Amino acid sequence: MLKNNAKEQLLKTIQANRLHELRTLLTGLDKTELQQLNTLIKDPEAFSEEIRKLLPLSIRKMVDAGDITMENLLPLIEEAMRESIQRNPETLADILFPVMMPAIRKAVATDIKQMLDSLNNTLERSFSFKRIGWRAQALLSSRKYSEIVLSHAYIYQVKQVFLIHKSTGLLLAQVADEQQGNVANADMVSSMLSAIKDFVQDSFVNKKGNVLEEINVGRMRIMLEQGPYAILASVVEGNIPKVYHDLLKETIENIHVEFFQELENFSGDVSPFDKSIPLLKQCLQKEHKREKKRKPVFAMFLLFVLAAFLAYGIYLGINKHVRYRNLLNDLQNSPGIVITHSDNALFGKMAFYGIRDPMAQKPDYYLEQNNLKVKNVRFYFKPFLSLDPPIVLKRARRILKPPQTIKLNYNKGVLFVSGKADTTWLKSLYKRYHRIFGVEKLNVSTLLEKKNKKVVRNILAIEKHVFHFKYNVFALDSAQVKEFKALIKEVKNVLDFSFKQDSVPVIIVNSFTSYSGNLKGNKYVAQHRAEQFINLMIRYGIPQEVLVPKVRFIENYNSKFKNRSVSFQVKYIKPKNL
Amino acid sequence: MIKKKICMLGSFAVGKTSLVQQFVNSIFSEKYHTTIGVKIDQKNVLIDGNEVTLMLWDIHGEDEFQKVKPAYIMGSAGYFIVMDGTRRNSIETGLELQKMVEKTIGRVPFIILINKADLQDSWEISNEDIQQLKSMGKEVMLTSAKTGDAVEDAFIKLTRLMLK
Ligand SMILES: Nc1nc2c(ncn2[C@@H]2O[C@H](COP(=O)(O)OP(=O)(O)O)[C@@H](O)[C@H]2O)c(=O)[nH]1
Ligand SMILES: [Mg+2]
Repeated sequence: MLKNNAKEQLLKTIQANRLHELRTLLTGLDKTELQQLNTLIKDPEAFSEEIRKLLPLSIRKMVDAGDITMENLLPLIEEAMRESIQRNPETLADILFPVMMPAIRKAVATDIKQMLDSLNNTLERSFSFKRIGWRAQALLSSRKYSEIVLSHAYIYQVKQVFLIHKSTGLLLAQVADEQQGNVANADMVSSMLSAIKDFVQDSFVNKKGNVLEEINVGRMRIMLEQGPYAILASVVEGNIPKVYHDLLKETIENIHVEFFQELENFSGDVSPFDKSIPLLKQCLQKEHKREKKRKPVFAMFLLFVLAAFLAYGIYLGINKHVRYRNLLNDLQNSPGIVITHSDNALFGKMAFYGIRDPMAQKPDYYLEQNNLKVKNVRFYFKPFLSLDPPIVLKRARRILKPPQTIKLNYNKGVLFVSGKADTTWLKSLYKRYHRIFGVEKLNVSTLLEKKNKKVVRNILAIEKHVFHFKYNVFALDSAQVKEFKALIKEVKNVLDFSFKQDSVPVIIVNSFTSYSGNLKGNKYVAQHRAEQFINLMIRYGIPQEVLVPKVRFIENYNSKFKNRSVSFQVKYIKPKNL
Repeated sequence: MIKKKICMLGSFAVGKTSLVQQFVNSIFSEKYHTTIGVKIDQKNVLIDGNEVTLMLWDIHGEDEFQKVKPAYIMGSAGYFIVMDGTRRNSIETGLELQKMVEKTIGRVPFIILINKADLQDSWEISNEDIQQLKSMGKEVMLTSAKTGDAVEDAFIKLTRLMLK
């Protein structure tokens, strides 16, 4: 039993030990270490702290082992960056600045270079005396003129392509433009290029990954495209397009693929690289300048001038005709002008024939408004009297001299007078209207006249009367008595009405005598005759105050007044002047 | 067609350029030499009926001011270490250069040329010195760029060594 117990005890111990051993074997940790681990796991604070230390390392390891890829991480990083930029853009700018600046600088520099290149190209192309320059170039340099011209006939031309073994600088293969021919010392050029490349790269381009891409030798440009074992050198003249770089890159890559063995084990035998020539030939690019077809500039210019002249002539012709038509129209519409015929010669003066009322608008008046000059137009007008209403009116105004308050109108032989005027003018109107050519009747509707037509007519009638007396006779014969009675009636009508409040009518009794004979006696007889006449009038009821006797001498024999006659004048005078 | 790159190395004024001159007709002016530290010449030689193009890289003399650019010696199939018989210290410089080259491009054939053999009367390099160099297993030839003595032989010999 005891033995059993002991055995069991032993077994247990062994088992415990074994368990311990097993544990140690499995985990590689002893008991205390395990206990430490246990407490660490159970304490979240301590555990997370421990994991924090491990996490970056383990991520690194996972990436290295390929457990997770950058592709998995990138979205997370990008997300984090986006968040960061949104929160504080400046920090990120500070971080990126040193990284981006060289790239930006390089891009800018490349752009400027390209810009300058293209500028130079355009300048060169547009310069028309360049051929003279080439002659000079040919004289000064050892190059043939034809070669120079040829080189200028291209926008760019790849002249040579060398395939150079990188470490030895030995020429592996070479192609050249047919017109150019192979370079005599291509092997030395190749080595030299290699040396220059090494020198430049060694001396100036120190940073890793930066390689010499281009060497400029005068007008030539040597473009270098480097592979691990070989270099492609392309000698170019002109402004090469950017895609050409890509072509070189592709070519050197293809060569490395195709000749990898030969390149790696190269020991001076260049014959295998003859097979690379077709590849190199693809790099012999050139672009012809588009020769502009010569346009018949001079002929075109002449044609243009001719067309311009023709057009101008047609324009002038049309213009002249338009002005002629306008002037003709103006003249035809001008009252008092009648155009019988007119003429507009293509080269020469316009001519207008017709008749014109002297009252009509002067024809020159229409020249200016039609942009015509006197010297270009001839008028042939015969005078006539026009019955055109505006001309008749003009004529009427000329003769009647109406005050501004009077309005005249004319229609079919009738002159319409309206407005305001004094009696004197109205009197003259009645006296003169028949002298106006074209006016047969008067239609007066002045304010004054409406009421006083009769008075005016009476005044005119009074002034028409003439009484002739025989020598030393004062009595009136029977006919004269009849006329005298009419006169008295007319005078009474006039006196009944005063035209103006501030004036009264006065009848002047003019007794005419002549200068012949005894002047004093003549005057006395005439005075007596006037007074006799006045007495007669007073007897017939005419107030004495309005009658004024006046002796008048007849100035000459042509006078309408006769010796020993009495006639009358009606005048209005202000009362205070009486 | 076989092409080989050969380097001319040695202290300044030992006669590297003169040796090349003696061997070929240079086309590049001396200008390049001083500007970028190397002058390149070409010589085609017939070895056992095979034409070999030799590219001769005449590298500017090593001194305390100018170190040889490792890029220039890269890819050499063989090289000359030129010493000046009239200057004993050109041995030291030559040997140092040789070590440097071997370190840079590995073991390739080379020949030590002790130049200016025409001035042997005033040589500082003795026969013992030459024997010592030979005992180190090195190929040594005495040349004169002035008289042309052993110059062509030296180039042919190195070419043969390189073609082996
Ligand atoms: N006498 C003599 N002079 C030499 C010889 N080789 C070069 N020189 C002269 O040494 C000087 C330096 O020569 P150079 O070829 O420019 O040396 P580098 O600096 O190594 O290229 C020049 O004055 C040369 O004329 C030679 O073999 N003999
Ligand atoms: Mg030199």
